[in-house]
Amino acid sequence: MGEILSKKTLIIIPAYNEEGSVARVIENIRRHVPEADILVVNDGSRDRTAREARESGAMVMTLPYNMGIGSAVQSGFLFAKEKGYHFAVQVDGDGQHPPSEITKLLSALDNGVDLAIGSRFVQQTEYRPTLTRSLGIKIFSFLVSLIVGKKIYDTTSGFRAASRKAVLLLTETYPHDYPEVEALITLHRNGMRFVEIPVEMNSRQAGKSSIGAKNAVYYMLKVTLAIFVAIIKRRQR
Amino acid sequence: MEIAIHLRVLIGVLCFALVGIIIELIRQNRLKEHYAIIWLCTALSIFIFGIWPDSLNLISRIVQLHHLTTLFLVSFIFLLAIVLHFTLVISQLFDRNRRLTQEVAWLRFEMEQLRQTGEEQV
Repeated sequence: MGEILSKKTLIIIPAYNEEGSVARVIENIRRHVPEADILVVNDGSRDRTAREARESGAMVMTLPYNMGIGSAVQSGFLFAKEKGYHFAVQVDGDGQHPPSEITKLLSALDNGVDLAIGSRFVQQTEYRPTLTRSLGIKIFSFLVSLIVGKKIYDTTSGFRAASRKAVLLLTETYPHDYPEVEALITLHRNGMRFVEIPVEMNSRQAGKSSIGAKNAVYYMLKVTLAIFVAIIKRRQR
Repeated sequence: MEIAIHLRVLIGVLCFALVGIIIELIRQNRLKEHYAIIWLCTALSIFIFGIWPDSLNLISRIVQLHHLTTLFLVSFIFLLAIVLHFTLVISQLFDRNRRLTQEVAWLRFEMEQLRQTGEEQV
């Protein structure tokens, strides 16, 4: 654990219209990982997200228009790359991801893996997805596990910690929307190792999920296609 | 195959109009020369079919279709190629636009930081 403290960690919070929760998320993170720097990537919010975040003492990088979660997170990776951070952790701005579990993810990175996924499904947890969402999650889990060659339960979790090596790769290639599943395949294809760490997720404090019923079909199609494309895509240098 | 003379005149007029429009668009800086090439090729191929209709017959014989069907087939494939080309261009533009936007956000952040430290020093 002492090792972790000596390494520079950046917490990336992608936030789109999260004025109701972002301040609390930042406070929570600071309480649990006081040594980490916090960057809010304000993804073209039209509310007071940026101001709330700044007043809570986080660094705020504002994107000029709503670019989508993938591009927002990638902007955070670029920041981490430029500023020489060793680890980058993604924590959503809606309060779903428990900051108390961040150190668990970081310990995993310290043990030499390139990506630690905060997983809802390795153990029995409180989280109960809807039936259709549960089906989608199962399908992705099946496909990714097949490709990666080991069981991955929660492929869609956005609660993740990445090593510098993984960050450098993902600054080059990261999908602009629904990036989580595809990124796993990209990492695998480039020889990076990842682990799932069981965490207890909260339900959302405010705002609403980025995946509505209308987008669910697009989500399934896009991600499934992306999985197969990621398999045949050329490796990054 | 014989094409009526008035039809061939029509095709000729069409080609010259197309070429004229393309040149005018380039002149007004509204069309990149790079993409104008496609359209000039389009005009050229229409022109060839116009003055030398037997080329169409030749293709018809190869694919063993009626010459009108061949015409549609050729135009369809051609349009498909153009649309594919545009999608490629859009994808490339999308990637570049994304990186550019991220760089702008990053630079703006850095600028704010510099301004703040500057104000603190004053």
